[in-house]
Amino acid sequence: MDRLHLGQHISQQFNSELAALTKQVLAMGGLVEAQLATALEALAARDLRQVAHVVAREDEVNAAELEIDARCTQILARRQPAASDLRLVLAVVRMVANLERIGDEAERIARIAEKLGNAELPEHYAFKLAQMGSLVRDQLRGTLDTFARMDETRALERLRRDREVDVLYKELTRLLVDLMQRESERVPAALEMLWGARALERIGDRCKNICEQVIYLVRGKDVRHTGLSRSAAPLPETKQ
Amino acid sequence: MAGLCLLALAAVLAVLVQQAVRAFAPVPVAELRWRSDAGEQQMLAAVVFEDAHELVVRGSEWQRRGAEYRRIARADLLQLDWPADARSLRLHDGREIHRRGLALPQAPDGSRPAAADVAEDVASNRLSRGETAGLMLRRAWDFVAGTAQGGGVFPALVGTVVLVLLMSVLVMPLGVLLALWLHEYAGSGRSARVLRAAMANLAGVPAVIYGLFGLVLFVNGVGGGVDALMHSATPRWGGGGLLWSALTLALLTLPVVVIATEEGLARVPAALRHGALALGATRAEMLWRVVLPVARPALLTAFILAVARAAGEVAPLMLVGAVRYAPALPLDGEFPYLHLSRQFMHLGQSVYDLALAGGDAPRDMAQAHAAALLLLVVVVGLNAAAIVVRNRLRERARELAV
Amino acid sequence: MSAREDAVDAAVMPPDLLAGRELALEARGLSLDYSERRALDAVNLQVPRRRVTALIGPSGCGKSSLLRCFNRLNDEIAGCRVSGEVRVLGLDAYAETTALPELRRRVGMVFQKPNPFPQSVADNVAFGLRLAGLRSRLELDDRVEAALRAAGLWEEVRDRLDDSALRLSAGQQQRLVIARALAVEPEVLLMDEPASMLDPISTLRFEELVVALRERYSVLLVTHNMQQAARVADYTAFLQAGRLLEFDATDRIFTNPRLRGTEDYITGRMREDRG
Ligand SMILES: Nc1ncnc2c1ncn2[C@@H]1O[C@H](COP(=O)(O)OP(=O)(O)OP(=O)(O)O)[C@@H](O)[C@H]1O
Ligand SMILES: [Mg+2]
Repeated sequence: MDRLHLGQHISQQFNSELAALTKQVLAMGGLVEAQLATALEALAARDLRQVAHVVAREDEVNAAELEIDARCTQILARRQPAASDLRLVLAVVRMVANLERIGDEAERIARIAEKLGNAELPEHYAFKLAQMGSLVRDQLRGTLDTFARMDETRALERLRRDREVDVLYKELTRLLVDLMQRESERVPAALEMLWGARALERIGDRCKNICEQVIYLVRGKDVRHTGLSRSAAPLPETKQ
Repeated sequence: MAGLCLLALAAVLAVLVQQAVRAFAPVPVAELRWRSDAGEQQMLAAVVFEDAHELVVRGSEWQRRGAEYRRIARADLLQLDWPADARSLRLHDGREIHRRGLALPQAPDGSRPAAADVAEDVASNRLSRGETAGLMLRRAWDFVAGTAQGGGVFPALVGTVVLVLLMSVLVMPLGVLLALWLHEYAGSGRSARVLRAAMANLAGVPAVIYGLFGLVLFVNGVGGGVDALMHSATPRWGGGGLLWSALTLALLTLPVVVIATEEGLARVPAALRHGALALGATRAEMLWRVVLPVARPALLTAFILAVARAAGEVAPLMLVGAVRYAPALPLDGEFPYLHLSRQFMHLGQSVYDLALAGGDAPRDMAQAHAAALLLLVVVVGLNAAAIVVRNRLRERARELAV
Repeated sequence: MSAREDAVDAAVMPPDLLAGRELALEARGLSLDYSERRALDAVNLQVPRRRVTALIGPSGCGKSSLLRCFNRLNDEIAGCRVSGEVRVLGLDAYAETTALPELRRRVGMVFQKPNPFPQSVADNVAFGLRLAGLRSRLELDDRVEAALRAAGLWEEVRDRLDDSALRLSAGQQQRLVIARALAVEPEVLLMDEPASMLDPISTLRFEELVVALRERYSVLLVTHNMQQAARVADYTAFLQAGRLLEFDATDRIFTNPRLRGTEDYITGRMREDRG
């Protein structure tokens, strides 16, 4: 559904420019999503080949960010977009920055797999981390989905689900800190795992940022720093 | 189209010039002897017309406008000489007298013209080309600039110009005001419609009816009223005069002026009017400062049309002030310089008089043509002046259309 | 106060947008018909004092017609009928007692097409001043220069003050008529696409001028240039097919208008379902 009526400009070229832009953002999102998935698998399986794969593709993510940014600059300069078009471009610039950071975090997770090597931790730690990983993956996919559909209601839902990630993160942190106090020889491995959890938590935050941008671009309402994600308030008035 | 108009004008001018020239050309003088019912006759006369069958000759004018024209069949002619010592005298009062030798001839009543009376004395049969040309020029000048007594039309020329100018002075403000009222104030109201219809119809009324109207309204009505008020013994305003004639002509040309002006006003762009109003101009200020200046070419067109129409009208003037002979000019050095109540002479009237007065006398016919030519020159001259001014203004107006 | 609230249609304008602001112009239920065609339909518009308000909308939507209501120039157009209420600087513009020259001196207008009078440059600018009775040569010269400077034309015409204004270029003519309107120092300025023929530099200068004018004048500016409206206007009104669709702060209109119609217009969209 074309919630933003992107295809209705009198200028056909502008239509296709905007269409190409959103498509590219989604492609980049897909790439980042794949990076995260691979990194998580690498972590679970301690698979160095997959680690190398993630590291290698990180460049693609960076390149995509640069390309999309350039495209946005061009649209701003040539089309002087207003209203929803302007918001779309601004939102895309911000979203892409977030996606790139997510890519960075994915790479970090992959590298943790490498560093952990054969170091073993009790089963349920790895399980908790994997649980957090799949939650974050789901968040990311869902977030990209809300952008694809320009669906600000689902974006708000996603925004609120970030708390689940935070809860898991706090739980895992507490467990790991406990572990480090009890068994000092396991501190290096526990620390790595803590970094991994922290990276996942960051990705959750970035998804939240992206959801906020989706709401901004659909509704024109900036919900950053408003506490909207913590309250149960509905979104502000809708366009007539 | 314009070429055709110019061609027509040129043709008319050519005919007039050709005819008018004859009024001033010297005529050879012949010594004639012929048979008539009254027996054999002999006279010294100017030969004004000659063909295979007859001659038309003009004897000495012993009385004013009493030229003795004769038609003599060639069959009756006994003798025809062109004596070298034949001379034609023209007196200051316009009479022409023929004689032989230098002595002043004696009139049939025994009197002799004094040497001081002689204006021109030429040896008619021995003129060189140069002399002929000079003579004609001098005669033409005498005709144009001479007094009525001397056979000139100067008073009529002055009368015509003064009349037309006075008419313009009267009709332009009135016509422009009326047009302004019609176009700018009245809108499509009833009174405006009535006035417009009146204008359209008045434009088609024969001129002489204006003369009658002027006679009744101005001369008898207003003029008579003024005289009665001033208890003057002799009618001063109650007779035909310059002012009444000008007013009558003004009335006659009013529709033309109103219609032409209105058209001009309609062509002034609304954007200019709005611009003036938006700066806080009242309607009158807007008209005076913006619309009228822009419409100036149209006003001059109106003026040209009015002059053209007015200068050609004679019929109505005869009823309200133009006379065959006026003792004084309507414009002179005597206070108040412009004498509105005076009767005046008019070139149109002169044409009419000269054409009729002499019967079939060829010289007067020729003079009628000369007067007509002069009238035409006056009209064309006034128009040309106006057209030159208008074209200057048009240049400015054209930039406006860009 | 309650009367004003009546006039505000919440769908058109946020009710508290102009709360506490003095109004320069106000139209209430303003409709305008040309002999057969309705050009304005129940327009409620408020133009705040000492602010720049942009009036945007597609060609033929009635912007110029609306502008002409505020100085009653529509009176000049045959077959044009106006109903509703128009208040200018607090006074009823269509009251019997309104003196039009006085009203129009206080409400200056710059027309869509430059309409210099066929007079000299200086006389054009001095036109309104002379109407107002100013006679002193010196003072006239000063005010003419000041107005030309304000309009950014002085440097170009300082040697040509006695030339015909018609010889100026179109862009110069446009600035000339702006100078002409400024010279009489009206309180409100109605500008109908005044920058349509200006080059980018002159346009920016003009926009600077408009922003500077805000200090003393209330400006209602018609423009087809969205960026221009966005740059200079405090408020923007969107007119479509003779109706005021939306009125809001310019920032709001150009980032997130409340109505779909406004959005379509400023972003250059066409709706398929428009009948
Ligand atoms: N004098 C008039 N007589 C009849 N109809 C008119 C007149 N002036 C304008 N109209 C009509 O009224 C409507 C509004 O015209 P107006 O000039 O106010 O539009 P506008 O918004 O200023 O357009 P633009 O942006 O093209 O200047 C148009 O449909 C127009 O055709
Ligand atoms: Mg317009």
